[in-house]
Amino acid sequence: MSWEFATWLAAIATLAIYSFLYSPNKIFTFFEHVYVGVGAGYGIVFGYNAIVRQGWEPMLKGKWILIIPMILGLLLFTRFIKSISWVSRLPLAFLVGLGAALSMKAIESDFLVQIRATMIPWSSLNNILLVLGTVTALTYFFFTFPDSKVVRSGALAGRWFLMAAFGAAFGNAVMGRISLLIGELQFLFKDWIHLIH
Amino acid sequence: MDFLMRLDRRWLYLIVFAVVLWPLVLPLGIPFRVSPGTMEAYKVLDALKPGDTVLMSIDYSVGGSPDIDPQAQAVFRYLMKKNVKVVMVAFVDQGVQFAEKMIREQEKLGKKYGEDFVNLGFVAGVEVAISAFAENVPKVFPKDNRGNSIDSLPIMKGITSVKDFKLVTEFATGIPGPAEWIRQVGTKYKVPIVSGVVTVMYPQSLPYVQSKQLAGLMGGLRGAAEFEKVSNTRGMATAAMDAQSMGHLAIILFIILGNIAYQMEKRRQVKK
Amino acid sequence: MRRELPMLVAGLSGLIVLLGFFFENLLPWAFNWSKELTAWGTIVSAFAMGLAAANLILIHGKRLTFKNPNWYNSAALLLSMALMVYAGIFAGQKSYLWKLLFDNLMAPLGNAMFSLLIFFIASASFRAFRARNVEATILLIAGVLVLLGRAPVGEMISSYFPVGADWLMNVPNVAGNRAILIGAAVGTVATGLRLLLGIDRSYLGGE
Repeated sequence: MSWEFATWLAAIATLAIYSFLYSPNKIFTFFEHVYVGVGAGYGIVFGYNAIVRQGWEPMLKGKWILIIPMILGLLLFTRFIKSISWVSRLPLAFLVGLGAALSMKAIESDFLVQIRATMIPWSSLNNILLVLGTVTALTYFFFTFPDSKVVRSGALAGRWFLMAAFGAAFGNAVMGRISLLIGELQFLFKDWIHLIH
Repeated sequence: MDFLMRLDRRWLYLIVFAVVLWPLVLPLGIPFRVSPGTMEAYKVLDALKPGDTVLMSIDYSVGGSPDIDPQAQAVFRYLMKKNVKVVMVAFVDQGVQFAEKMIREQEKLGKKYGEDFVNLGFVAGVEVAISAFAENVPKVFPKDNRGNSIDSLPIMKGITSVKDFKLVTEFATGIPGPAEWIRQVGTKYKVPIVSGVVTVMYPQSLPYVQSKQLAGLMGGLRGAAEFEKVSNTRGMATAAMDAQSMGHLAIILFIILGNIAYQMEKRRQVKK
Repeated sequence: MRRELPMLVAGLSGLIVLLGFFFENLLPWAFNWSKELTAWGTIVSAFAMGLAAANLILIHGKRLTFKNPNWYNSAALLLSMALMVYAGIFAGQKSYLWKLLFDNLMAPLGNAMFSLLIFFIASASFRAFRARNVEATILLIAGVLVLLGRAPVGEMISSYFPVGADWLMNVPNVAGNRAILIGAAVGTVATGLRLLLGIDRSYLGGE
């Protein structure tokens, strides 16, 4: 067993969270709050570093135009002052506008390229299934098409392909969560209690 | 079956706990093969030459780190073995710490910070930040995470935009992930991207592999174990595969038992 | 003014970035300004990281001041936040305190929180995942096939499991996810346009 304070701190924190599995309790709630606190503190540290390194220091070296984003960033905090809380919409709007414009690149990467990648030769059963699966799954999302036997059959086939995709997602989700448990068990029974070699 | 349906769920938790712990303590050594996605990723990384500079984006947080950190560690160790230079960056704040840990491990083995690798640090803004970074690296990072001026670091000589990297490798638990990197970097700058994602994101990232927008894709702890196998390094991911197997069997058993009980209950209701 | 000005800011900033992206050579001024604006965006986003913390300080500070029930949880939250900030900004990231707080408190707590999910999935697998109809059956069969195919034990039982899982991941899964991607891309562009044109004003909040 390890007798290092740091290892014991981590082990106690882990067991406190796992105590929730037996029943919700005050120790779990306490450490839950501690987690939120350290997480928020971590965010403050790196937000501060980013502001200083990317804004404040270049500004002091002569890039005075950076005063604009610095002021915009400070305006975010006006949301806590009721009389001028509307001012916080300005930096939010700036970020929303940027994000919306940048996300338009999806028209190439997620739309055009994906459609092009579906235009494959029907030289194998897998290729045929890939094309049919994509088309029928898209048909499922066409809610404004007039109802007809073709659309309904296509949508039904599409639903089956989507269910296969969701099944794959479920399998991978289970796999991923087991990995997280394995990580914790490796810490508890290797680093803390030396049961795993 | 009634007994099973009335079983306290804490017994199920205990079964999962025991079934996953047992192979960690007493390994079974079940062999596994390498999937095509990991093989493709390995081939791209293997084609790198000593002296090439690669960007490694550590975009994961503590919540998903047991699933993806082994992947990033295996790839980083492999790149160090090949004497490839690695520039690390993070678009998720917690990624900086994971990058620092990997770097500290290599510094103890004699590798030099600023020459073999660098940790640029974190920049806020997710996709906005990736776009800004891809366009002008020194503008977004005038200093690295340790406070060194970018101009003073030999590894950063000649790096002005993402085009100057031979390859981009990114490891993600969510956003930013392969989609954001492809949108902001892959589409415009045509730099090859190899992605490592948590297992949960693996199925939804596969369309990008088939469309050749990703040069390779590794999924979760299994991806890490496969990479360790193909690159001839043994790590914690390989040791975890037995536990993964047993965990899967337990869940499958629960699904089967639950559905058997459901069908029996259904038949009983019909008979009534 | 309180709504029009932010809408104008959103529309203008988005328009410049769009023009810079689509007309890089035709409108070099738009391209240069789009680069500058995206760099500004990183600085504003850094301030936004402090917003969440400020909100937490306000809420938990009130609970502590008025000694609400379980006020000690709020005290723990604020104290751990303060310690983390002190360690990161004043003591430095090489300090023992920083490494202790991240490696031995934040990381284990985060890992443990997320690893709880497997237990709930196990319980749900037993009680809720039922093959009630054709679609649910396809979902469950696909899930079980992936679980067996992606685990070494499945390969040991039969070599058809990994082959089947690979086929499932690379054909039906890619087809289904591709359709979702294409649909989401259309939705993203439509939403982006609505935001930039001021039709969607949800980000402005209430009056």
